[in-house]
Amino acid sequence: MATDQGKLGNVNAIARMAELRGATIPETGTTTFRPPFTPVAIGALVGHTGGHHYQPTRLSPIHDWHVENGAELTEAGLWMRPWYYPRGDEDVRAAYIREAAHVRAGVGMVDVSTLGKIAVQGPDAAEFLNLIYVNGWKTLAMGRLRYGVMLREDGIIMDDGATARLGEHDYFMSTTTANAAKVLAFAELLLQTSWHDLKVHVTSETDNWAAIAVAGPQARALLSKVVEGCDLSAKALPNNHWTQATIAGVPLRIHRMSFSGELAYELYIPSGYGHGIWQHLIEPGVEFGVVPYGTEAMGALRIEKGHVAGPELDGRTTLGDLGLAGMASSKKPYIGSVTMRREGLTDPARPSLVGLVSEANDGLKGGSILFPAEGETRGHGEGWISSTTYSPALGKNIALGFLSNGPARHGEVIRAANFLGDRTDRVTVVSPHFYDPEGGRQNG
Amino acid sequence: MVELRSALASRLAPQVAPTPEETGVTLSEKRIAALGQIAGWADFEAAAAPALERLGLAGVGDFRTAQAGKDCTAYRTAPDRILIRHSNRDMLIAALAEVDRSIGTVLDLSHSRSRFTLTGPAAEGVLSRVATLDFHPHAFPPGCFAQTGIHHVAVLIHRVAADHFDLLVPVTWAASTYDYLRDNALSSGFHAGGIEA
Repeated sequence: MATDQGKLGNVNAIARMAELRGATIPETGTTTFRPPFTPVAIGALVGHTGGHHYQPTRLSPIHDWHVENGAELTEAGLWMRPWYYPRGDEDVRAAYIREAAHVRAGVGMVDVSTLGKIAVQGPDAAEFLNLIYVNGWKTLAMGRLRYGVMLREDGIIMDDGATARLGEHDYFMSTTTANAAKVLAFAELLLQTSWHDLKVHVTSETDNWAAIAVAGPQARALLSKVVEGCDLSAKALPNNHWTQATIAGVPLRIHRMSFSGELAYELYIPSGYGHGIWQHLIEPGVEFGVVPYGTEAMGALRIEKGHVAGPELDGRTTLGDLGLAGMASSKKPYIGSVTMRREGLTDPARPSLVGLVSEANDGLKGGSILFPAEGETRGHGEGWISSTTYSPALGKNIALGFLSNGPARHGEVIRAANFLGDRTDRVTVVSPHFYDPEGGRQNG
Repeated sequence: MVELRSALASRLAPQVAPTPEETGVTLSEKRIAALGQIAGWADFEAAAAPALERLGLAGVGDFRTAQAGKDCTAYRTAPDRILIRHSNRDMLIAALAEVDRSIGTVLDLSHSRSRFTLTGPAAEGVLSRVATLDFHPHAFPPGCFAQTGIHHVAVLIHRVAADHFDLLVPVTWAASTYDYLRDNALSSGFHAGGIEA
């Protein structure tokens, strides 16, 4: 019987024993059953997970449009996402540079349906957000949204995203694509164990909403042409606000927020209409030269702006490392609020977020190790490069990275050693906010 | 208004085609008009009661039996949650509005799931190949439902009749789950049924 002391092989064995004894199963007796209790068809145990079905694939509600319009796709976890939309014989580099430059100059659209979306509901929802995020939530007014960062229990950053207050007891939390399931499971665990006295429910809404980011100086003009029932002016809808609206008869929400650093809006659309709304925006968008852009251009834009993402939230970094320590509230407890103050996590010599510019304007490599300008190239160095791109806005090859005492070293020239490529680049340490550091464009 | 698009639009015809003879299993989609969730805490049943009464449902039900109400079907998905599929969106929204929001929550999830229908004499056998549940009618009779996984995707399976199963599948996983079901049903005489409004 070995591992199967449940009602699988065991029942068959008992039946056979009963038959041999000329008795019934109850007369023969049973063992104390252990799981699995229900029979499993042999067919269910056979290897179905090969080739195309090695793993399930997750598709955005707008996926078919991307395929029909020539997008090159890339894997993002189990999602398939548009990487770039080549024109002619463009390769990824040519395409993303064109797409990113176009967003800065005009307007572009990117499918961000993969973002995690969690409904946080109940009379204690604000208290829950206060406990799970490092910053405060009790003053967030209806119609507003706020960027938040959450820590793990050990004080290391777990995830970030924006949360909107939809109603008195209703909030809409967005998470990174990669951490959506982890954040939901973590929240559910806390609510069922540590915080079971809180009247809060969390429910995944990732599938319920398609999401489109419309970004660029022409974003307002494009949306104003198609939107019904709301005013998108800077006065009526400033940054970090949201509004209900209708486009082509479809009720949806428009969140004013920016990942690219440009004037930008995120549209949250009932999934079944996501494909139709995307198409509906493309057609009037011709007047404004709208282009779809993929994850590569999205990455270039956010690196230019100095926004952190997965490569910076790598399970090792703290709020202080990212220059976000000022977000942490001192007026309330939250997950990680004690452990983030451990000696090793508050050492000012910890590698902290910096921008890096290639002296020779060569492409930099993620994972390169940072060393002083002179000296041995050996050991763990003083930090590492987390994200790289060619910046169309700056005309330079730039990177984000973590460097010991980083903020105090702006202007210093150091070396980035790429051991795998057997190459070393000289880079200048700068602020991670390469582009529009005052935020005039996104707040316009 | 722009077109409502199925997550299976690239895989199924927009109308249901007649089922050929010798078909073992037909996989179709039925559009979900409305899907809503009521959740609560210690007084969950009291919170849900006014809405359930309006929907013609006797109560929150148990965790294995789908409840039929007026134009709706309800699934108790957790001790403090119930999922309701309705054929009329306005009626469901009106019923959910009856919930006292100080003791319960409501959530419109109408666009979150695709509703697959798996019918035919081989339907039970196909499901047995892809989900680790006992689908024998003694263990999983008509009216029974379960929340389980197919190829790592969380799905709700409801046996409507002996040879008819409804599956609620998250829309972003719908195409992949469809392909997986289809490929596992090919040897049983598979028929792509189409999308039913």
